[in-house]
Amino acid sequence: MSEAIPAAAIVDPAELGDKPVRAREVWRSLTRDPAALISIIVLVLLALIALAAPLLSPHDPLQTFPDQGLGPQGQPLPPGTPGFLLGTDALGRDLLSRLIYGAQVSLIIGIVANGLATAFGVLVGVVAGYFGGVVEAVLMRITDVVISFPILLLCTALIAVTTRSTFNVIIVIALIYWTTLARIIRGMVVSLKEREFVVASRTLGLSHRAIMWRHILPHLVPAIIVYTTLGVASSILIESALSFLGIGVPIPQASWGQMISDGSTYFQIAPWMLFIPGICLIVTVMAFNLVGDWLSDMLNSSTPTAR
Amino acid sequence: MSTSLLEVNDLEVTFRRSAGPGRKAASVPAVRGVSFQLEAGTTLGIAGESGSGKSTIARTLMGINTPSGGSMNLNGEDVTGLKGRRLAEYRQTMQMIFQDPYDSLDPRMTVSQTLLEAIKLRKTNKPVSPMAEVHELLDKVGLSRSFASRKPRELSGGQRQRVSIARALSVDPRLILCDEAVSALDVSVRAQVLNLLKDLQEELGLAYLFISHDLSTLRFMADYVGIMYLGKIVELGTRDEIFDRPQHPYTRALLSAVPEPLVIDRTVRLPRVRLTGEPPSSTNPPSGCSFHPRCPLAQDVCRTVSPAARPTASGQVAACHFADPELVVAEA
Amino acid sequence: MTALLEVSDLVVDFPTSSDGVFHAVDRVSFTVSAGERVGIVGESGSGKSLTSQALMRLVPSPGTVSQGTVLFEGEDVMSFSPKKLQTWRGSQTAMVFQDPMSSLNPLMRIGRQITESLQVHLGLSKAESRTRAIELLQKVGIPDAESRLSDFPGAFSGGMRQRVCIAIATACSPKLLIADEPTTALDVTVQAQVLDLLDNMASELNTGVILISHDLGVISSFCDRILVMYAGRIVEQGTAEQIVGDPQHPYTKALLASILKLGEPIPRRLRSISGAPPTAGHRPAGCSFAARCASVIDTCLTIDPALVPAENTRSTNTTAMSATTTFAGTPEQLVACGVAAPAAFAISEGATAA
Repeated sequence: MSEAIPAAAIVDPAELGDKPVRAREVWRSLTRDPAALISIIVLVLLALIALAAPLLSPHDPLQTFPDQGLGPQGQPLPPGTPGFLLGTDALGRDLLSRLIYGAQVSLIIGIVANGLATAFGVLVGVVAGYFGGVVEAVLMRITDVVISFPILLLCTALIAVTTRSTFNVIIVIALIYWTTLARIIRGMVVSLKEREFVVASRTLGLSHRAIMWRHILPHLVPAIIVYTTLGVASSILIESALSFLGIGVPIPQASWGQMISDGSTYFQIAPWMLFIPGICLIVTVMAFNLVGDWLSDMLNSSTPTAR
Repeated sequence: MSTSLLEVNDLEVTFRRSAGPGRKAASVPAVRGVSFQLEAGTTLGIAGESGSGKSTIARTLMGINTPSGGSMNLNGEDVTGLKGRRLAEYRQTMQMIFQDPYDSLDPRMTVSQTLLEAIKLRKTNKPVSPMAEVHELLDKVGLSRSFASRKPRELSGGQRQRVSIARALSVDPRLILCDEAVSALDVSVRAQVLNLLKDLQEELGLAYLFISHDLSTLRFMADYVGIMYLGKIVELGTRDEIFDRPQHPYTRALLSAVPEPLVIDRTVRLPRVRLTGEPPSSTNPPSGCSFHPRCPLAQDVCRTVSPAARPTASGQVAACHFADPELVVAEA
Repeated sequence: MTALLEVSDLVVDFPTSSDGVFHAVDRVSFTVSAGERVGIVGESGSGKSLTSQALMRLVPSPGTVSQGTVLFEGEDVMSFSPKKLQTWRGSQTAMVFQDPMSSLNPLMRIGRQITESLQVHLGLSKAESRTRAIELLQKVGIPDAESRLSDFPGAFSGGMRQRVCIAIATACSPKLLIADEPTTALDVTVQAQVLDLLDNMASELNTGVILISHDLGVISSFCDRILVMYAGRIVEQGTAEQIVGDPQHPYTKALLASILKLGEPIPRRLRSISGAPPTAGHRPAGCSFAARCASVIDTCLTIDPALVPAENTRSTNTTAMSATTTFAGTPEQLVACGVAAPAAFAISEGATAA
């Protein structure tokens, strides 16, 4: 009845009613945000490269070339050397092949670890927010405790008591990264459950599970997509940090963090060993962040539930 | 007495407010000893200003809030503090229509999905053909069947409220709680919805607990009216008693504050009572009669003694030391 | 008496998704004199709030004022420079909104919010503006004004906040005050107090007031003159007595009939207006109200009626005409309905032909 937001009164219900042409809307939004468009292209390329790693990489990433791969004094070769497009590392391994396989590791860890974290975070957030009371208090205190640990210290400790493996890295990242999402989701659920349509389904006698599944979760999807995308970037970063510290993906397996770690040792004589994986890491993380931002803008402006 | 559909005795609801920046933890008595009865097929209207606790009563009856004292009887059965399955069953005897038509339907579900969900929850008289029932419900609330496939955002406020009514009807309730159900609607649409509610009452023998701050709407809808102030019912009586012979000074003030088109205003028979100040916070209600700081009739006794609800000469029950026709006239 | 504000042919356009434009406010003209209280009544989407925003040049994007003039004391508001506009908005005009919480800065003390405009627009010193702020708060009935200056808006109740907003609005003694649903969020007993307060402030300062509300009760008990808006147009205007006592437009009549009045016998059913207003961008040919109108005739569906002087019995009655006492000097009652006033069709026909 109020005309507090006159613009809203202008929105024509009949026009909104037309089934939104999703694909066209997405495309329109993308053309307005070239950075996001480029990021998506970058990520798609990266994914393709990671998938086709065995086909694309000129050499085995683990194979050392003690003769062709190293200079006269045993130093790494610079980019542009015939046979080694991006040069070699200190052990005479092909940098390009390692980079390609490293992309595979980074993406797998980023996506799987973050997927687990999302699932767990959403579960904790929804349950805590919906039931409130003691359930909420317990769950959120656990969340607070996990959040208040210094991330790297916690990782180091966790890895120290297990063996160094890709699987463990994934588990450790997932164990740490669910907390932020849990908090965000909990906040959203607390306000959603007071919305009249949720209260109405309670008064009809709908079960808690059905309410959470049908009336609450669907409204969280846009937020989950956005935070998951942003979370992938963080997970890739944390994996790199772990590898850099020597507690990430086990050597000799290639990962970008591992490569940066190696590179930093030889920074003086072979700066490319540091810069090439470093740039790849920065570009990938930035691309995920930009896509996350774009998703957030697009989903928030077109979601009717966002009031 | 025992035939009442709904009987509420001495209902108390207290909220705990946690401490925040600049305030201490406190218990807020939102409803303080409210009693009333509601017969099948009739309407009890509850009026009051924001914070008077009128919505809390509805939410407590629906089991959304928990009472801290008193009892609620439905069809002679004590339903206070029911849980789980029993609560779900009991809830279906009673349904609720909410204030905000833009928030009371899940924006992601079509009208038929919303109604089907509700129909399938019905405990008794399981549906044979759910879709046929959806159509039947839409007919009942005066919407064409083509609305079944629409989403809430394609509906106007009035149409949404009709869908909410259909959803409430889908579980065959005996009583519907209308919490400011028409307050957010435009005048012309409000009239349509009020007519619909009256028609449904006649057709299905529904009882309504009709909560509204709008006295003229209550006068149209209600058979009995309770006036609430700061968690208490200060006056309760038949529609005519309340509107034609109000006894409590707060009721009189409320009635005279209703702005009306001026031509009619000239015929107002009540002395115009204009209140000063605003309702005090329910965290810390005033001593004695809660209304005394704003009351034009307040005497010393009002500051110390909380007046009990008692029958007045004109029929209704009022909680005022001076709720006696002669006295009120003398003082005014 | 020259008009304080003269709005003529105001049109506010909004783009529609199908690349067209839609007139959310369509050729609205009215005047406000100093000290006059003009009410705009209409349902949601009728364009009543947009009209007031347009004349303050505050139309929300993507809307634009595509046509019309707004003269404030003879000066064209539409051609004001940004700087002049700012001074004008702050010192000559003021607005009071529905939600007092969102129109106050929650992180700024009340005192600062009042003294700010006093210092900027009236050039008062810090001490002077403080004294004046206390005065203003006392005037709007806030007890203990001096100590409350240092409170934040959160410490006030809804009614008190609206009083603070009125104090801020009247701080610079504006010549024009626009109140957009100022009491909708308030309880009835408080609503009555706030309306009284607005009334006092306006008569004291001889301010012209535009009161916007969906509530014909509020409007008619407060205003001298009423504009009834429907689907972006003024469909009827006249004095409060004319509109309430002798409405001419079927919409006004229906609106009055659907309002419940405490003083009247209770009807078994309410008279309601069937259907809903046309949605934005789907204005039918002819009269926008035709689809819901009880007295619709064929012509209504084709010809869009113009706003013409009403031909009601009271003012055309010859004996009343000869007397011409009561209505002399009062503005004419105008109506945009060809059934009530056939001239509406005639004029409109000419206009469309031209």
